[in-house]
Amino acid sequence: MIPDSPTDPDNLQQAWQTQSSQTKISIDADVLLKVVQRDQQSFRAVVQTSDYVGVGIAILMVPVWIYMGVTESSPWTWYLTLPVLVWWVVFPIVYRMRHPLKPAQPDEPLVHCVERSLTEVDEQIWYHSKSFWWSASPLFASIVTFAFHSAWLRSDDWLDLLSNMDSVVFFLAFFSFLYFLIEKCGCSKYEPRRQELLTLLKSLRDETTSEDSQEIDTAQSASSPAFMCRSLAIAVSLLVLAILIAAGGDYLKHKSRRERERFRAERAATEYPKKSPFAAVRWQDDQPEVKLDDEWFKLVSLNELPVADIVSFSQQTYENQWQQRFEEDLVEVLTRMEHPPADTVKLVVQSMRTSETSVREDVPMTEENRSAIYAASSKRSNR
Amino acid sequence: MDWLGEHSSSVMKVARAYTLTSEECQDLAQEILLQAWQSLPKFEQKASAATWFYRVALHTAMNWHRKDKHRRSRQQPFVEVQALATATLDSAEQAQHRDTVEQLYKAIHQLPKTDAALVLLYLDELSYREMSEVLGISESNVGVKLNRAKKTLSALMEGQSHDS
Repeated sequence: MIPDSPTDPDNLQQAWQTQSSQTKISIDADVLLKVVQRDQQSFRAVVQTSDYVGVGIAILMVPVWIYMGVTESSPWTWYLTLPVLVWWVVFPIVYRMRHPLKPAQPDEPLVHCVERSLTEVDEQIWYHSKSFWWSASPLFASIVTFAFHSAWLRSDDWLDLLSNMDSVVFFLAFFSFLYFLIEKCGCSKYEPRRQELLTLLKSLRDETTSEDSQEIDTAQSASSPAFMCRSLAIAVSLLVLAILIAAGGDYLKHKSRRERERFRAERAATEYPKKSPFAAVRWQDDQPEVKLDDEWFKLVSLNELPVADIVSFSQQTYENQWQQRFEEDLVEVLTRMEHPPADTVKLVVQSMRTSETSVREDVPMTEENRSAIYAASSKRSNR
Repeated sequence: MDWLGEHSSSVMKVARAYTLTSEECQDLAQEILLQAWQSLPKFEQKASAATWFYRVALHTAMNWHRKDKHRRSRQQPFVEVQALATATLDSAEQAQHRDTVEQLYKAIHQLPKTDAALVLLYLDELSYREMSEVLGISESNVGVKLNRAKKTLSALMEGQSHDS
């Protein structure tokens, strides 16, 4: 490049610098005021729409909730949510009556307008930051109570109750996630607007106080990308954990159910025939008395097995249920004694009338006899 | 609002460098000022205010799309840019500078966006360190790129001189 030519860097820079003193930027305060007022109205419209939608949904949910409860024959705990829905209608209305959103005045000074916008945004941040406690926590209490109650009704025992607790765990995890989301991230949508207003207020006041700086710094740290990313990561992790817990509970429940079904199937496959050679059985201490052809006998032996051995085996094997097993599951008892009976058995009995001992060959084992014994036993124990 | 006045010339320079008409220039200038205003709370004072302002202005200009014009046209402008006559220069010198500046803008319009950014910073006499802070590249990289951009600018300026 040739010195002093128009394209010489020094000349270019010198010419370029002359522009700096040739432009002046002025701010139209009236238009800026209108922009702020328009933003304020827009913000107010968003807030009011949000309120109306919330209240409307709560009102609609009341009949839907009742209808679902009636059609599904839900337990009484289902209806605990109804007062919550009524509360959802009442609370926003009362809150808005106490903290009304006043429309902006056209001749209002810009500073006042900004200050009022800032107050409204701060109130809205408070409203949303506490929304878990006023809206979600009552719903949480009612839903978890209903889930627990339903699990309790579906369960046969405490173990079964534990396997049915997956819905309770899911709701607990879900509401924990919701709490975190509302407390940490719920108000972030208002932060940019709050920052704009703080900046504008600061520039309008034309002074930098340490208070203002601190306020902006604090708000900035709460809405910084790193903080938001960390919050979001924790929130997502909690949700994933909730889903995993629910899925795990569901898997265990299904596994437990499958195992129970398999156990029942195996038991059904090895089910012993429900048969008995006796029309009825009664007990004289530990001695069984049996009915044959409408006559009661003292049982001495069955298929050459002394009755004392059978009773002893039954007592050792079935403990408290030994008499019931002897009466109702005689085939199983004999089979487990490694003396499975055929369709007929040989009985040695002693007559209750004559005390005469007799041998009865080929006494048929019938299902009718066993049914009669079962019916009598059920009647005795009111089963 | 003092900070706006302090950086008004750089806003207009960036806006003019990245637009072709005065309407678009006003539009982009307003967008830059809005972005700067909204980003002000994030200003951490690690860099100088001028460097930070250039960064916001160039970032906005590079992402500025003419297709958003309809959206922006509904927004009433609250920033007015006025051209002032300079009393310190005689009319001949002023006219020569004005011609040079016009040629510079024409040349800058033909440069790639990043080269245009480097040339703008160079013409505003920012140091290599400041340029690297604005653009986020190393100082040595600034040197290499700037030399290339200056050569291209000179060629474009020479071409314009011959044409005229």
